[in-house]
Amino acid sequence: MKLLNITTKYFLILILTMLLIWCAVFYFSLRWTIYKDVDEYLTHRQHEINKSFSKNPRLITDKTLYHTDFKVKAISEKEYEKFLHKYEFGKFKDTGMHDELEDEEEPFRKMESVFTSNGKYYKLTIIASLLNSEELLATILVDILIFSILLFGLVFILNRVLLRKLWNPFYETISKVKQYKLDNDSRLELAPTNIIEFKELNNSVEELIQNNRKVYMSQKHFIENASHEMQTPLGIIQNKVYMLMEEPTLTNSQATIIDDITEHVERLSRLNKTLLLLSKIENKQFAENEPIQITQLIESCCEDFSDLIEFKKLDLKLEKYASPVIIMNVDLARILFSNIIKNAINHNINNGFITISIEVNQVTIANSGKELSVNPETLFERFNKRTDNSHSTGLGLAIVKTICQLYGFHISYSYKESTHSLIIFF
Amino acid sequence: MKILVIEDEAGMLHSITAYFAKSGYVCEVATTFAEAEEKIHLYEYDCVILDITLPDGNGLDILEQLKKRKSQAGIIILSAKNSLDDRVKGLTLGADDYLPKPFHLTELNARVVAILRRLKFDGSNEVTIGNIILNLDTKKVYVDKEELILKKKEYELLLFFISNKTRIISKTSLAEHIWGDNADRADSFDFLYSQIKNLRKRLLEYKANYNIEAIYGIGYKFVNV
Repeated sequence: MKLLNITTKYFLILILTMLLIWCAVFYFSLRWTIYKDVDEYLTHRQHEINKSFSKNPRLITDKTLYHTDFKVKAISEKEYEKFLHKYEFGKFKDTGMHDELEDEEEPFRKMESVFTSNGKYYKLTIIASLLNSEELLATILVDILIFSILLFGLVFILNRVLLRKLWNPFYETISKVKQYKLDNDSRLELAPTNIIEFKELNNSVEELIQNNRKVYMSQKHFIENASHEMQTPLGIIQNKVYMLMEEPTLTNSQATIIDDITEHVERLSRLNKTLLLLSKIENKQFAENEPIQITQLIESCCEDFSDLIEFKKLDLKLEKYASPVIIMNVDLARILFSNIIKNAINHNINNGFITISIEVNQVTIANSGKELSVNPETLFERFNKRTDNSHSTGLGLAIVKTICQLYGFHISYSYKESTHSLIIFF
Repeated sequence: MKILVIEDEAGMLHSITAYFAKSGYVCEVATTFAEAEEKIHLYEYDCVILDITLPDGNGLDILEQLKKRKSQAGIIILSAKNSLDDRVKGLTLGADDYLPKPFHLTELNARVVAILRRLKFDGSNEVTIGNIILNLDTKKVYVDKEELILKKKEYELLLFFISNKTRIISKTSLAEHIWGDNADRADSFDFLYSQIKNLRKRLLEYKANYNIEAIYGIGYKFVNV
């Protein structure tokens, strides 16, 4: 759930309950005030009527007065006592009365009280219309409801618009961070904002990424630097060993040892060169791209290996279904295909075959050979050697993979019926 | 032949000069940019071996100075960087060759020999050793005027052997020379053995007075028979 929706949800729930409670409280307090007012009026009227009765007792039985807002009824002493005991200040009650003019029940407030006059007991009932008050109450209530709904809607819209605007820098930052890749050359630049929290967020994110980039870059360059530093000492060892070889007094057993040393120094220096190449590819030091005729390139790679192919008595078939042209660096293209072809020769059997089919969007290299002893999924990882062969660096296919990654080519491997198939999709 | 070796690594410098001295070259050395600058202004050399990463300057500047002075010396750049930029820059500035470190002395020698050969070019682009003649343009080989037909790699091997005649050539430097970056192969040695065996047989067949001699455990030597 989006933060925007969550805040809106809680905000609306809160406002709705608040409004409802407020309406109820307002309604009841208004009602209470009105009733208090009416009851006060009734009490006042009672005093007034009682005063008139005490001045002129004849009025009690005056029928002409019955059409006004009160009536008097004679009661027994027992009833009088009982009433007075129960309602000392009179009994108030809501009642309805039929209005003939409008033909509907109308609300009234009724007050009952008792009094004595000349030793006789009477019950006085006074009424007051509540019509005006009720109408007022209803009108006010409707107004409040309308106003509340309007307020509610306004708050809702304002909330959405405002929050969306306020959170905009946040969403922008998120989308930028999402798109950002550490191995990109560019820095992460976030849009400026006036909101302190987001400013802080942006600063922290930028700083974090900048630091990570530094670490990433120094790690990337570490292998390259280390390999560089190793080149000269390796060269010196190689040359010193050579000078040892030229010693005229060398015995056969010494020569064997020297041969061993040479072989391993050679391997080390090859490994070093390959690692250097890998970091250079990853560090995008092969920047210049140009259109490459894939068919021509493959033919020329095969030509380079022709002596070896002949030596191993391999049957090389080139199936040209198309002549794709790919934009890439010429050196990397050559490294890519010569590595794959070399691999197909290296892991082949004597009198085996190599079939290279070139199609519009893909190149397939199929060769005979023994099944892999390693998991095909780890085939393209560094130092994943397929043989115990000490001449192999175990980096050939890692180079292939790195180049493919650089240009976004997809690469797949399968083994079926004693045939290794490697497919590159451009 | 006079060679100037400009290299700041003592170990490297010593090997190079020792190697070339043994071949009969006169070797002079410079270990700093300043020293190198002085030497190229004072003397003329047939070949300059130049390491481009010097402690007090860039070797490419030495190269520029040499070219400005219209020096006739052949120039080989050595670099531990093996970067394309350096290579392209060096070759555009007029260097004759570029060799990334680490390298085999035999390889360096072959390059120096090739450069000197080009500099002393006297019309016929041929290499003669004993009764063997190699035509570098047509890539044809003659023994006593009779053509010896060789495969591409066999021809390359023969030229490498001739360039490093009478010196020991290690198996690895041969493989590296023939295969370059593709030397990391199991059967590159098997292949090499078979090529050398073949070449030896052919030279014997054609009664060449130079042939390949195997040195136990180490490699080969191209010697007068």
